[in-house]
Amino acid sequence: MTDLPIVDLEFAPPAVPTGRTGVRRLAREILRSGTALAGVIVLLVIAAMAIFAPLIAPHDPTQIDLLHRLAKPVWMGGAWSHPLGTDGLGHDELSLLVYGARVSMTTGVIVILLAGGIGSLLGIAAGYYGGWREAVIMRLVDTSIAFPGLLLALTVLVMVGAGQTTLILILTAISWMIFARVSHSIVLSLREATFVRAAETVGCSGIRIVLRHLLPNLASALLTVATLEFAAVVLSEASLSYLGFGIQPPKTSWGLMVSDGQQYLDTAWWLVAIPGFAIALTVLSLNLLAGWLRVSADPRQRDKQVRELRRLRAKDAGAARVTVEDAQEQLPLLEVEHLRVDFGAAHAVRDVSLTVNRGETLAIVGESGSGKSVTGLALLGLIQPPGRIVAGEVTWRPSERRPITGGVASMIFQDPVASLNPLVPIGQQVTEVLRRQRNMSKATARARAIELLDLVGIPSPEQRLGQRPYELSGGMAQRVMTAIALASEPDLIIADEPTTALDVTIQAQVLELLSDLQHRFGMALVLIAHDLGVVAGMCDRVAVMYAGRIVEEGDAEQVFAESRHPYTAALIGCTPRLDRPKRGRLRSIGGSAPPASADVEGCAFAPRCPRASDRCRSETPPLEDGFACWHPIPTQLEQVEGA
Amino acid sequence: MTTRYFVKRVLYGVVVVLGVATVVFVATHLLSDPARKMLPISASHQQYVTFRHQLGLDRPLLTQFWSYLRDASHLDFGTSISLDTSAAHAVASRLPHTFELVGFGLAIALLIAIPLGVISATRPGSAADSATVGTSLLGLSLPQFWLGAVLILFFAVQLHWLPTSGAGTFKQLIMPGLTLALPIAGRVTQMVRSTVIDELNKQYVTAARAKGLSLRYILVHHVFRNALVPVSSYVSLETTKSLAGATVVVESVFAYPGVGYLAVQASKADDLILMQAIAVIVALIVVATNLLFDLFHSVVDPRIRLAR
Repeated sequence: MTDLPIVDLEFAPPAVPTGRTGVRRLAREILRSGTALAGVIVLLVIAAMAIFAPLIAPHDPTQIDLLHRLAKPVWMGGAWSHPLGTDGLGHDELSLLVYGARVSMTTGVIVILLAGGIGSLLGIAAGYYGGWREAVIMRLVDTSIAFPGLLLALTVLVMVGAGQTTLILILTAISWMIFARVSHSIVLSLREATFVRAAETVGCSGIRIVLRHLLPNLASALLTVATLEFAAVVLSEASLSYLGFGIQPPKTSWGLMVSDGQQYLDTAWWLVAIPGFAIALTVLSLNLLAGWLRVSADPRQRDKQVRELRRLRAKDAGAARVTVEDAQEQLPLLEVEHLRVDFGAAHAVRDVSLTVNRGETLAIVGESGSGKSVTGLALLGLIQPPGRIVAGEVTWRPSERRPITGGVASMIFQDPVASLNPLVPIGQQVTEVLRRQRNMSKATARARAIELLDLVGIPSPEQRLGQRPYELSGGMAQRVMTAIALASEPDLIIADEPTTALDVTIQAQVLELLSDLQHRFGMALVLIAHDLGVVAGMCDRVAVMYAGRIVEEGDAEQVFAESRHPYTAALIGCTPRLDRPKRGRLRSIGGSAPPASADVEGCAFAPRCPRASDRCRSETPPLEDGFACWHPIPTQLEQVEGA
Repeated sequence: MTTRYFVKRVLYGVVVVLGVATVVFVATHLLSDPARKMLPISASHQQYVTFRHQLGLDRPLLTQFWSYLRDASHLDFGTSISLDTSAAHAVASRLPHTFELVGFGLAIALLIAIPLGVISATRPGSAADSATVGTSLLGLSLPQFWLGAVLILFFAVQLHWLPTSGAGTFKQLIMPGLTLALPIAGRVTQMVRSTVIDELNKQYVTAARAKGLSLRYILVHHVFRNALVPVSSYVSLETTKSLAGATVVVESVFAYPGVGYLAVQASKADDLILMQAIAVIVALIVVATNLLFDLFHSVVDPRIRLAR
């Protein structure tokens, strides 16, 4: 039971912009994104206000002018000498706003630099050294986070005396922890990452790798956190100044402006509205930018999926191409014609046609990424956006007309523990099918669940009903999944690599169980596997998949004995056989399969195929007589005749 | 295992409270001169010396720290200078108002956030989703003291529907509650949305769909249970942040007689004794709240108390 010899190491480091090109790319992407651009423009305007405050402000913000107090802003009929009006003491509102930006920005920048510097250094140190240093630092972080932040800040501010310097120190003291947490977790995850481990085993020094991959990863994460924290600091500064414990007059702050203006709320509401608007706009811009940064640095690129979804509602996922018809004597249980499934721009399944007859076992084999699992999901109509069935028909003809999922067909997945809800007792996960799909009463469903668990070989099933998946071994969990699959008494079970995640000793047991149940209930079985050894002994027919297509299909014995497609032959060649004497080295197939995103012209296997000709590279061979190849391996009969 | 987990959590809480008490002590006794602060500027040197002695500030620092901790352990912080009553009692009499405000605010926030977050997560990329994300971002960006002022302007000054200040009636609770709730609702909505999206992408959901279960059933019976712990952890964070921060601002805007407003009054009066009492008692409440949430999480997900 060996995997196919496919280079499948997760070697690729996360894609993160580095150095100057990274900055340039970031700038380009910001220009492309509307929200990020809006945020950046607002922030640039506020930064410019802060930097050039003396040039922009039309008046001295501390200048009291009682003759012109509470002047209205221009749009309410005020004079241009005070565009935003004046406050209760005749201070020019615009000048106050401009100098307030200065206070807000300097406080924010200094706090973020201090907190970010201290926090990330401590976090990196904790992650890098590990051991007691890590324990001490992270305990300190946890404890500090649990402190009642703003209230403690208030207390200390009162004791020590308010002012911008104290404010900066205190805000630093309550915001460094998040930087420590984030950088710690990134260093940790990198130390554990497969590509770092792999690079270490090929002799690269650990520190160099960590540094090389750490810095870009860290930079993008810390940039996001810093932007978010900047927003929080601006709000905290404003709040504390509003309460009278932050910035002290004659210095000005947006928070202070709101609190000064509050007494004129009924006569001069703009005195509260304008500075409040400035705070909200700044914070909103920072949050917009942070949100955008987070999503654009997310390796899973959730946002790209979301953008894809916008064009593609769930109901457009092609479920209508999966239909149920009445059973007909001569026709197979399941017929798939020219199925094509795309995931966004990637072609997961390019062209699959197959049939499954009542009671038979069909094995679909192929390397990872060949589209086997997606085919399995498509048969049940379970493709979800951004995936979509773009062409083809899937037709079911079950003995009794009922829904496909929860009725005609069930599916067993590769990772049984992940496929069970971790927090729901397994009993409920079995009975919910019985109760929802077969309208059983609670008591009947429970009794039936016990029968089913017993049937799949789970000892003392009654006691197991209340257990949760984490209390089960992988093998037991897969038996539970099998019991769930049986619950609806399906015509067909699709088992998607049901044994890959299990111990070798358990693998055989699970396969035996499936085979046994299939014979007992006369179900059809579609067994998806990447391992020819697994399927060889138990299937009636085999379909071999390569790059989203079926390249060979036929009676199992015949395909194994006399494969026509060079890929099938190569697959069989590199499967170790215990029943044959050792004949030198195990062979492997050179090269690798084309990525799903590639547009393949001609036969996808041609680049790796010893028999390929020019025709193979330009024309896609159709699946005829059980194989899709222009130059099939001659049968023994043909060899004899040719000789 | 289970007992060990809780003993650990409790000990940890004790450490946090001790830490807060220490920070407060250091700030009062090392970084400032409490006697000078609390006395009027006109006080003579003789008065100053007598007052220092009265408060025990002339003793060695460690002795002071020890007696401070010992007294604090039975919630004895001394007599508030500004209120002339026991500081602990002053705090205790204000606590119910703050609890009422935080409870009401959180309830509103969750009532808004959970449905919006779930709807948004089940239709990512739709117009409803974009609107929810945008609105919640706006909500969490609003400064509370400003939001409060705007509400007063509309509902009290313009419309005369609601009173501007005070506590005791439901009408007086509405505006402070909303002011506290809206930014929280914004943050929780985003949190619920991303948690539910994460859960919906998990293998057990695909498996549940393969069983023929409807999306509604899967949300209610499967996703809910799994999203509960992360969302509730976040809500616990918001609760403690409200108790120890947001209420200070919100209560001040509405002159709402809770602990937060008391803290501002104590600060303005340089009543260090009262401030110490508030900081330590609030720390205690924060720790207790976190413990309750931990207990709840370990009931929902037993793996939490079994790990490590």
